[in-house]
Amino acid sequence: MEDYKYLFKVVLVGNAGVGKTCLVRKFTQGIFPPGQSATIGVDFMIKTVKVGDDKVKLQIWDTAGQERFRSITQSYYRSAHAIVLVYDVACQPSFDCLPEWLGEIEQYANRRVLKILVGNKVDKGDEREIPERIGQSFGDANAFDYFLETSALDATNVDTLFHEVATRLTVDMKRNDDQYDKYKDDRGGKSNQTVTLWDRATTQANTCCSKHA
Amino acid sequence: MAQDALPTDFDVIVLGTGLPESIVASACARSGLSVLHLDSNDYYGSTWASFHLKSIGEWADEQMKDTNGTDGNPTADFSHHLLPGERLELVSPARRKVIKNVQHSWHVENAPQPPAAELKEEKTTATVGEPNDSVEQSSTAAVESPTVPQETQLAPTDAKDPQTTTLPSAETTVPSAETTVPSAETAVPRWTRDRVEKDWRRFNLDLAPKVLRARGPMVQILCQSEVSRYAEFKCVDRFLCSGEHGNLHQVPCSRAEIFQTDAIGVMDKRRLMKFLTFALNWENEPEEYRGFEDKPLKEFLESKGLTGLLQSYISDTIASLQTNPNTVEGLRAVNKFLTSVGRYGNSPFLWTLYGSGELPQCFCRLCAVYGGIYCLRHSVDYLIINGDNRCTAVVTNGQRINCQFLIADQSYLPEEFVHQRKSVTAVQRAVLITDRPLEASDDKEHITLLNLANDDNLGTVHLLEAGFGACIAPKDLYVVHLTAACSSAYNASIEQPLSKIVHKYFSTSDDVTSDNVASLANRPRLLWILYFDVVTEMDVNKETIPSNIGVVCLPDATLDYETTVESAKELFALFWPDRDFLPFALPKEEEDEDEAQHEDVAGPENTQTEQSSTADTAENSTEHRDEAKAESVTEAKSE
Repeated sequence: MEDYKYLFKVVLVGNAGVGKTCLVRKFTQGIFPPGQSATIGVDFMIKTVKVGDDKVKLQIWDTAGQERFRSITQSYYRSAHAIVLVYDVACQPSFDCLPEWLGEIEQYANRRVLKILVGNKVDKGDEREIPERIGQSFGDANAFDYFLETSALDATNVDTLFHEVATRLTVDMKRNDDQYDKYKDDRGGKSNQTVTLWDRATTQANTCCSKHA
Repeated sequence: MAQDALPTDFDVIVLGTGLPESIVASACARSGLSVLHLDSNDYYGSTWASFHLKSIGEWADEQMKDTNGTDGNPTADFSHHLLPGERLELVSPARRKVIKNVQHSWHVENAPQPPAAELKEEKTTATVGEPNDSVEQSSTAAVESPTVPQETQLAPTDAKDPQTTTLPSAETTVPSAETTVPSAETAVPRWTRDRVEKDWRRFNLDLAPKVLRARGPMVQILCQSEVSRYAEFKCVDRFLCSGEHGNLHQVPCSRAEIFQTDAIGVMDKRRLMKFLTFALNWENEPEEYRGFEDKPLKEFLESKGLTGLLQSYISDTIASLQTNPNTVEGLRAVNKFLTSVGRYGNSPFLWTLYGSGELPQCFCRLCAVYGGIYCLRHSVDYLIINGDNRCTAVVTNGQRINCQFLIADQSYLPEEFVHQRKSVTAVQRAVLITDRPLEASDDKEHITLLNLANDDNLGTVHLLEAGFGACIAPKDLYVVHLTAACSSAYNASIEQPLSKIVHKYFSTSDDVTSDNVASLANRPRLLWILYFDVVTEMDVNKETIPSNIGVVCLPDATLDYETTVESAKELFALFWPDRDFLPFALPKEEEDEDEAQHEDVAGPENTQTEQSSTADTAENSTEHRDEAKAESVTEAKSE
């Protein structure tokens, strides 16, 4: 039996091939899966991190390849606490598509979702096409809460990224907790119950269901 | 978003992302088959989709377009794609639209003041990022204050109803007493069109609203496939039935509710309890209903002294899965209802948060997780049929893609494979946005089901009402779905038959001359409405259709998902008799660190409300979770 204070749903979006799955794998499992073409069999991964004295669980969802033909389901964005939008610093088209992704986030995600912009593959050095300040200024101009450059290959900023997500969400949630104590008196508590059909017997063992694993 | 080229060979190609084809697609991928899932629309769900307020308007306008022309027929020559003995069959979904008779209209005006003021208001609130509550308050003030004095005076009574002025003085004191209460708190906010539209993205309006029965096949496949992790649900927690004078009554469904209700006397309570206890075990007590088997349920109930309101409780609500049942069908339905109560709380039915359009998407995600490839905005121009009358490939965006099997909804079928039905059937739908719940009896927000059995000639009409708590409407607004089956005499030219019901239970601005003034005051005010019909005019032509094409059904008028899931199951079993349909996921020893108490994910917007109830949710649900666990364990073993 493990104790944790919060569970957050973090979803990754961005063009195919920008390294979303690698970021998650590097963070959750410490490995960089070589030669992976498209994501198959990865649903979501769970990793517990510490924020101050609290244990916080991150449930990190991958796109299941649906971004390849721009066909991500709206339901993917539901209930997300944070959205990490990833581009490849060595791939101009992946940066050029950011406004389209933002449009989708605007339509389907919660308006108060934490938005993080990530330029991945900084290890590519010479091949870089997007300077850091361009990414930063895009992030500033579009109300992202945080911008960061990473490399899943050499682990640059990977832990920092997800710790930052966890910290910001935790701080936010704690503030809400205080607000909530006043709020709940106005509403019939019980009528707001959500039913989760999710059967725990199998869930725990299946935090990642990989076909290949 | 880069558009790769599609692979050229698949085991299964699925056309359309409606619910049954998405279930089949996920079952195929889960079973190891390669799946390509195409949809010509830019949204998931086909005729099972949910839309927010902006896109449902676009959808409605699209459906109303005249499609008689040969629009979009591909002009390019695709014969070079053909192998010897193959032929092309033209697909033209635009010519076989299943949505007819679409009308949508607003029943409130825009706010009277210049829009510039409100735009400013909106901008400031957006940057501040305050919770919705305070935004609502402040913008209301902005809307209300510049109006002419006359209007503001009218506002409080208008919110109740303009009719009050025509009432005798004794009655008018009631609403006027209410007007003294600070309007910000109790008075129903006075809605304007722009205020409703401002929150467009908070609406999730279903084309095919349905509920899940706790022990029905949908819940079962969701749990065993773990698709359930992609969605959240709430209990349908209020059941209404229509009494003798058209008044609405709340139906007690559990033992506790029956004992608490004031609506029926002690003797009636006893009779009701006795009947429900019997119905739980009806199959073992055939002597109880001997002689009534084929007679209407109504007659059997009367023989047991269950009349009036009690009968309405049972036949309209508890036996709601059946229309005009005979005694055996009725008892079976009552039994289904009762045995589903308690698994997820005091209700047999669950509502999908964010709307019923989530479910097809959830199955699509499972399919994608198991390797299925997804392409929206991909219309199919041709099917390629070989000399043995099998579909060997499709042509999409000029590319030939081979398949072993094809699954499609009927709108994707070439003319040659369908024939005109003798009797057209239709599901008639109305979607309403209202300002308050029907029969509001307490402050709690509910998800409500009301069956209007045999209302005139419509057959059973299901009414589902939900709001903010079900994640389908902004705060203080409600969405009402009416669904009716119209079998034999469907006639698209007659006025919407559902409009009668709308006018009976909801007030519109044109309602001023209504006869029943007293009850009018409590009726929810209709703000916006959409009518449409889902029409089945074609049947599959079994003589001409290739044997490897599976055709899925359109949404029917039933309340739950039983027929849909069963039809998907049958189709899968027909084509792949040796494969398991959405079997239990195999447990993996990946990370065993997650022995946590509760993992319910609450969206940030709900978190505040969710958090406190987590404790009793967990408590309440421990029991049924254990039960579900036990079930799944035994079933997994038996495999």
